Amino acid sequence: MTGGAFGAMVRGIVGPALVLFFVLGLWQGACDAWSIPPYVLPAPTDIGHALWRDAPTLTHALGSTLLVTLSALGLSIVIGSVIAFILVQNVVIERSLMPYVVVMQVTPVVAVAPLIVILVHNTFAALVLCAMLIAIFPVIANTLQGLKSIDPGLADYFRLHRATRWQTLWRLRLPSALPLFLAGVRVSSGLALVGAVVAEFVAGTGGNSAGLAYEILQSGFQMDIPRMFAALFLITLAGLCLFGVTTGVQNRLLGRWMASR
Amino acid sequence: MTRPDPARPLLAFHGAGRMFAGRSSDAPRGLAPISLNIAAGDFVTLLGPSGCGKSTLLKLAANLLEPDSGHVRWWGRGFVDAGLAGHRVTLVPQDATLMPWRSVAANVRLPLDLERLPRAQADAKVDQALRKVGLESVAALRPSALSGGMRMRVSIARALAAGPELLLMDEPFAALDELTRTALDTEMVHLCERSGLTTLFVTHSIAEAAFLSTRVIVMAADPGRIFAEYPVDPAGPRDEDFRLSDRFASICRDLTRLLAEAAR
Repeated sequence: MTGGAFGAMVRGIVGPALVLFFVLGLWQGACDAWSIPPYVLPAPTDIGHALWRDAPTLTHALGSTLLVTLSALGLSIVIGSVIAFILVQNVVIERSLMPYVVVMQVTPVVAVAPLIVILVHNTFAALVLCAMLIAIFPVIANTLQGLKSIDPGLADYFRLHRATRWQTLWRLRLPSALPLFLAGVRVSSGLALVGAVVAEFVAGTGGNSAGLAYEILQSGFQMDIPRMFAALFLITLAGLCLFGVTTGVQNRLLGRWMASR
Repeated sequence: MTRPDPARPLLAFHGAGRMFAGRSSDAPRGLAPISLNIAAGDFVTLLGPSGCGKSTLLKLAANLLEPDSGHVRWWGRGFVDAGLAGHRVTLVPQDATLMPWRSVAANVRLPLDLERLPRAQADAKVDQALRKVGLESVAALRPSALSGGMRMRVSIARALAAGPELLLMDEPFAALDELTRTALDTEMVHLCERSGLTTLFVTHSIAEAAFLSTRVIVMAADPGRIFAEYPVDPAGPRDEDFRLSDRFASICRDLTRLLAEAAR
């Protein structure tokens, strides 16, 4: 059993790793063979060098972007769940409010971001707000769907046994909603990073709260293309980590009963 | 707990029915007003085609629906007045409807948890209920690890743990294979006899109705109503011999005839 699981893990890592080395090798080889200048397409070694050289600035920027991302994700989870709870209370409330939730979702945040940056004076708050506007929708939609997806037979059983509202919520509604809620959080975590980067682009904030998007903009102005790639690499890495962590949490919380379904 | 007065029916329908508005072209759906008494110790089976109001009748008996005519009485009283917060009535739904996120034992403990029974007391009752259905060895497993038949037995154990007097079962074994179904039917008879349970059982199966019941209610559709009552002579044990006996065959024959007449 463990041998099989270990084998699967090795296969899951070895395959992608081989692809990565192959692509990096081709890339490096192409840059060397045709002597492509780094300002057109930097070789992987150039990017690695930039990453090393600018490590202090880039890690600071990474921290800044991650702080915005995680704050936005945290707020999305809390506020999104609360909104879903309010919506699920009764049909009239849901019908009345849902259109505005959808409006919020379909309006591109890139278009709204400049307005937010003007209206909200605190830069950090503005960034978090932009990222949250993008990230909150999956939490709302999934939690709402989850809270509604109750086994009707179990609901009848709870009613026959005169369960209180609280008992029904705690023992039936919340556990039933958990899988969809967690799936929503996972999508939301990716969107929070997208939102943070978009907001940083729009706000264009430098100084102490400069994030990775600002580093990309700056590198572009300075024609420091390797550094641009280095910042991009860090954003991707952050996205992968977020995805990994949320997937891990999801598996840990649901593994006991979802895996065997 | 005081024993119910045998003269007073445990469950009574006084002209109770519930119709649902269908499209105008459709025949009326639901259950036309009916009267029915179920006494303590009865095993009453509702047998009939789809759309004859069996499930509606059961939902009325579980107080999950309000009748739109007449009324339903439990122990001669209204649902809340009859002290039903004490879980004297319980339900075994069509599917096992277990909570997949909790263990078998925790699923069986649900009615006791809802009643806020102290944990130690509840656990003792859970053990007892699981032993009754022969599942004490899987108490710690999740429902997803069990077969369909075992899941249904967990559902029955959950109903028994509540210590009910009236058991409502809505086609509980319909989704199971024939062998599992026969085995569970035999188990059900023994459980009800030993625990002195009164049962209202919905089924599509003539053989199941013939095997389990002390009384079969044959129902007809359009609108859902009671077509005939068929008392089953309680003589002799309900076991495999009974299933093979001529008496069983003749009960099945009678029920088949009644169903055919009801469909006409």
